[in-house]
Amino acid sequence: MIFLFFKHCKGTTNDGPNENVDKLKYCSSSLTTVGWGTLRPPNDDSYSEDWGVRILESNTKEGMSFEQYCVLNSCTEDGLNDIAKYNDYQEEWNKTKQTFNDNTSMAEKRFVLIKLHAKHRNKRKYHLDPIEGGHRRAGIFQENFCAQLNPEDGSISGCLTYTPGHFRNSRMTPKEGIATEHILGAYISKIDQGSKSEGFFAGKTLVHVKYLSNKDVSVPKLLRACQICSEGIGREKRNSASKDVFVELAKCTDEFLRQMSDNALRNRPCLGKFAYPSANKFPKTTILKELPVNFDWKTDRKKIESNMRLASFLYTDICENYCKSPFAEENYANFMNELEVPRLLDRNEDASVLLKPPFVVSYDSMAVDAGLGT
Amino acid sequence: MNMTLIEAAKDPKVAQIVIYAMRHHVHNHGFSNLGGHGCMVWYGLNATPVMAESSYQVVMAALYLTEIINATLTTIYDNDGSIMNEDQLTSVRREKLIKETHEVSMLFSTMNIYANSPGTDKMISELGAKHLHFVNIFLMLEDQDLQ
Repeated sequence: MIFLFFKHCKGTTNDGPNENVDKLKYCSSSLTTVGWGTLRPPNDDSYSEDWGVRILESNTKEGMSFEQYCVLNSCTEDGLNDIAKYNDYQEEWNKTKQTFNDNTSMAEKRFVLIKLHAKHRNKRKYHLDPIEGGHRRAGIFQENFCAQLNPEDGSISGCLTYTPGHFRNSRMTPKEGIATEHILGAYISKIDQGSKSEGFFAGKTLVHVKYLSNKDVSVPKLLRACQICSEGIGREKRNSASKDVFVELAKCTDEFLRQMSDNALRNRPCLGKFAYPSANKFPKTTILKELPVNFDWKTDRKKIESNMRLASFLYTDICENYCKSPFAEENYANFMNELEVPRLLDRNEDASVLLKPPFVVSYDSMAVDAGLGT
Repeated sequence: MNMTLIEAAKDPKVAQIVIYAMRHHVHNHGFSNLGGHGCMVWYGLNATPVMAESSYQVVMAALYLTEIINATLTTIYDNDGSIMNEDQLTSVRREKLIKETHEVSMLFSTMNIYANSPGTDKMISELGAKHLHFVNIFLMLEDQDLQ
C-alpha cells in the first residue's frame, strides 16, 4: 500500500500531480510515520506563507500534534475516538457510539466515522484529502473497506469481499500464489471477526501485509502511477451507463434488438404501408427555390406535407410525439404499433401474421423492397 | 454537457432536430444525405449545406449508428444453411441475433474517446514491473497495541 502526504500551495487546484517536486515537501513513503493525502491550506484570513510549518507544529488543546494525528490507527476504538476529538465532532461521535453493540464490526464503525468526518468538514481548518480528488478518494475508500465501488453513484457495498477475482476483473494480475486471504480485506476481516473476548482484540493475530518493497521510487514516477490509477477509476466512472452516451446507446440497441419476436425472425415484413407517394425508391427531391419560406413545423404540418411528399406516417401525431419524447412509454408503444406491418408471403402481404420492428432483413430483401418503392 | 439521454430528449431544440431528421434524412443514402434540406428553416434550424458540422453532426452520427444496426440485422440469415424445420430455424436465428446484439452493443460501448486510453494493466506494467511487488511479511500485532 502506498502512503503519500503532500502540501498544496494556496490557490493550487487539486487536479493532479504537481510537476514541481519542491512543492512536495512533505512527501513520504510507507516507511515513514506520516499519513497519506493532500493537505490543503486554510482559505480564510489565517492563511500565511508558513501555514504548512504551523500546522505541523501546532497542537490541539489536549496536546495532540498534527503529525500524531496522522499516525492514528483508525482500526482501533481509541484511534476512532481520537480522530473525532481532533476534528471537533466528539460529541456527535459519542452519541453515535451508543447505537453500537458487540456485534457492530470495526468496518461499520469506521464507515460511520467517515460519514461524520464528511458531515463536519466545516469544523476543520485544514483539509487532508487524497490527491486528485474524488476518484482517488473513492479508491482509498475501496481499499479501506475492500468493497466494490458503484460507478453510478459512488457508493461502496459488499465490505470485506475483495478477492483476487476482483483484481483480475480490473485487469490487475495478482502475483502467482496470491489468494483471498492475502488481500488487504483479510486484515480487516480479522478485526471484524474479533470480539472483546477472543480474536483480534483479545490475543495475537497473524496478518499478511502487502507493501511497497522498494522505497527508492522516484517521486515523478510514483505520481505518474497514481495519476494513471486515478484515470482508471475515472474511466470506469465515465464509462458508467449514466455518464457515457455510447453506453446508453448500446443499452438501447441491446434492448431494441432483443425484443425481436419469433414471427419477425421467421418472416419478412411487407413495408408497402410506408411507400412513398411517388412510388419511387426515394422521395421526390424538392429544390430550395420551390419551397415557401414561411412554414412552421408546429402549425403548418399539412402544408409541409403537401409540399414535401413523404410517407404519410412521418406527418402523424404519433410520429411527432415519439420524436418529442421517445422515452415516454405511451409514445413508444404507439409508435411501435404504427410501425406494425403484415408479413410478406410470396410477394403478397399476409395480414394473418403481423410484425413489429426490429425486422430481420437481408441485402436481397432490401433490394426487393426498394424495387417495390418501400 | 453532463446530461442523460432522457433529459436530452426532453429538450425542445433536440426535438426539432429529431423531427427534421426523421422526416427528411432517413430516405436518401450516401452523399445526398450530407446536405441540409431547404426546409430546415421551417424547423427553426439554420440552413446549412453540410450536415456533418456543428450540432447537426448528431444527425449524421445517428444515421451511421442506424446503418450499423441495419447491417447487423442482415446477418441473421447467415447460419440458416439447409435447416427446414421452423422451430429449429427460429432457434438458430435467435442464437445468431443474440450474438450479433452482443457484438454491436460492445462496439457502441467502446466507441468513445477513452477507447484507446491506457488501462490499469498498462499502469501495472509501467510501474509494477520495477517497483511494486507482492511481498508477504508476518506482522505480529500485540493486543495491547490495539486496545
